Amino acid sequence: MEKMIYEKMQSVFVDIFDDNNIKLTPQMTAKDIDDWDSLNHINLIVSLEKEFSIKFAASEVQQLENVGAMVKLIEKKLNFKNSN
Amino acid sequence: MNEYTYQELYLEMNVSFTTEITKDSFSQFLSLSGDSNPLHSDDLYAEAIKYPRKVFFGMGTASLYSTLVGVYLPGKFNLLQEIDIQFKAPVFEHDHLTVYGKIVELQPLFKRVIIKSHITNQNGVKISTSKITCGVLK
Repeated sequence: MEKMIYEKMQSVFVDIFDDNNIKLTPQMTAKDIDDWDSLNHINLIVSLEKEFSIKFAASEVQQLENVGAMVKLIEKKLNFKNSN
Repeated sequence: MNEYTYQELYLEMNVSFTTEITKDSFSQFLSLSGDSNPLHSDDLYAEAIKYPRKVFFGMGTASLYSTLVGVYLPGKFNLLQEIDIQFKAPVFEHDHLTVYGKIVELQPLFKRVIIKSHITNQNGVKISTSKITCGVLK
């Protein structure tokens, strides 16, 4: 599932930051992408919600440290969704 | 001015208002923007490139989208974040423009709304369309 999440996230990141050269890694943070500011962070989270048909809580979003943490959170939410 | 809070907004909520493009509209936008292209000031130049007379500034009409969200929907608590605009037809002095906007998406996690909007002239011709993203401060 992790591979699938990375692949889908990759296309979301490319779309949001308009950069075909982005290659996601677990350690990647906002410092690694030029236009990853607070507004694009909101756009990113909203797009991820749509892409994976999930909803984040504000507290969850605030705790995300890097791309790897995002993937783990999405995986957790997809597992929860699939178990219900 | 409307003062809708985020909780008061709902899908399909819509507003419209009408305004006229006057002689002063040209001089005021020229003064603000510094866009001295003759298309916006010289009837003969405009005629030479197949317009009936001088054309109002596209971004001048786009400023009406600012009015839409800042005054009408959501109004006072608006914080404009993004806007995508397509310009579709020219605007001239004395045109009466109607600006329409409708909420098409609510993003409660960040208190944001997406508004689809368009501007039409007195003949019902659509002169531009836009997709606007607004934060709502309250």
